[in-house]
Amino acid sequence: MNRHVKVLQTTVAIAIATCSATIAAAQGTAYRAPRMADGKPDLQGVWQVLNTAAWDIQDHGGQLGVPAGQGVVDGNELPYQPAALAKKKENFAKRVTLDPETKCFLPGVPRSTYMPYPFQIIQFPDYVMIAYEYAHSTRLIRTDGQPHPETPDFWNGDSRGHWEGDTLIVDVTHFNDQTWFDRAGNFHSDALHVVERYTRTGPDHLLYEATIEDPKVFTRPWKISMPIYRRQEKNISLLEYECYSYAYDEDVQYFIKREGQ
Amino acid sequence: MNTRASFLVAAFTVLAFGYVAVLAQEGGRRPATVAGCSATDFAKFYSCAMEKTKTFNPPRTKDGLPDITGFWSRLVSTEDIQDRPEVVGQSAQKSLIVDPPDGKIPYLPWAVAQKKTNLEKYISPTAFCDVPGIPRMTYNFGKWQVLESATQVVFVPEAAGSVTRRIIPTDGRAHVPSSIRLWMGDPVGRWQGNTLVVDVTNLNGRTWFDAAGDFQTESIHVVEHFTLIDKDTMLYVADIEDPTAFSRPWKIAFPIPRYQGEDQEIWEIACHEGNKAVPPLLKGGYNRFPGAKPPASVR
Repeated sequence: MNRHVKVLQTTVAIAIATCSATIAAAQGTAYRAPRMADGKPDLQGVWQVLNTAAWDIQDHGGQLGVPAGQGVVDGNELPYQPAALAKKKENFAKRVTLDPETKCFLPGVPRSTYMPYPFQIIQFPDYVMIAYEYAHSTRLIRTDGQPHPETPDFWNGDSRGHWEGDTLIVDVTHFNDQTWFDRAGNFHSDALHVVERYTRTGPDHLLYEATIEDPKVFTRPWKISMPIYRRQEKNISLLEYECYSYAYDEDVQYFIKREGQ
Repeated sequence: MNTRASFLVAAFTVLAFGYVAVLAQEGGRRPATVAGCSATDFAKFYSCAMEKTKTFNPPRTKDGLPDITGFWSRLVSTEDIQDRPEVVGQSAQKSLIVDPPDGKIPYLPWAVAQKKTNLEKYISPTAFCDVPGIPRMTYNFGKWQVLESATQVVFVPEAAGSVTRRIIPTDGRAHVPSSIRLWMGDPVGRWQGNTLVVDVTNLNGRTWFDAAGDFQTESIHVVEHFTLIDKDTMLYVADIEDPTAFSRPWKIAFPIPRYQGEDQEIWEIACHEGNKAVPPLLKGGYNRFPGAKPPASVR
């Protein structure tokens, strides 16, 4: 493909993604989030999604252990480059052993958001902390304007946040190429760049949007969005899911059995 | 502990965590005093620091609470909380135990035997990247950050990405039901004068106090105290009771100095994801600590 055409396509795609994000944000402004003492929107609480994105972010039928579900990807199609699409298919075929979740690895972003476990948002001046129940995974997001540092790659990437109106925008870079988007083999490279948007749409709801670009794997940026629900239990408390600790237990010996495969 | 076991513990700690630089650096440069109190004799430090808590007026947060926010470092090593002679790569360290006065963990007879078994059969759970548990969490990391709000205090250690963080509610909530056992326990915090007091229950009895086989059972109850004694030093005290394993309550205390490095940011250090230590451990005859099975007489 002509390079100029490709650039133009990318530009148009970004424009469309930005535009739809703006519309969603505009819809979000119908509700004004309560404020923290520093005037920032209050996103605090224990939250969890109610969808099937953990299994497959795209539309999918059911199978044993997998409920059918409607996808969370805008337009449903993922713009894989041809070689990447072949790899995705291979990942799907070998997902039982290749999926990093089956090794209890850190899930990365955005996958952490729609794992079937709750997470807690806690805000401080200059920081937003997202604490996931899964493996005590934690993102401490600076919101004081510090740029991404020069760092090696991280499983969960490096997150920097800022506020635009009622929306928390988190820019995530410095990923490794080891995490997936779901249990269906959708994947990325170390060139992944994610921009997340968290917007309160009501007392008990957040709208989560993420724009994903990875020029090594996809032909253009694409977007996911989903509501996130506040856990309503009066005694809700983030507990723990120590995936690999359970997997090493002698009565389970999950990893040891895997090695023998 | 015999030399071979010491070496293995040290080697696998390094393999599993890559903290050798931190340990060597901190061990090598351990100061003689901190905040005007001994930094090497923890019984002396404890009585000196307790005096300072009576007069030091800590800075306050916007909510009027003592301000312990910022980055903190580690002065003590996690190899052995009791008196420890110099071993490979590690300088000697006096016992962190300030009560009883002999600095020894007051194990019941069965637990003395269990500790011996631990050293022969098992390896420190942190080699498997298990969370350090309580109180080990407080002396297991090189750098950690504290954030505070009116209703909670949050600890985020380096390695937070995969190892652990603590969210300590200070809103007066009760513990979760006792049948829920947790690797990091259930913390309930409160401010008492200038001290953050954290009551920890619901631990699962799977974590150790150190790499020397010192262990606990599910009956353990830890009450931790974090108090500023000057603007750059915290006194840490943990009251420990576990009537299944110990003949009496005991207490550890040590200083936590403020982290003075310029890199005032916590980055992910994934542990399990790159942990190559487990297969050689298992092949070497070391097993995973399954938790102690106390005799019926003490249960």
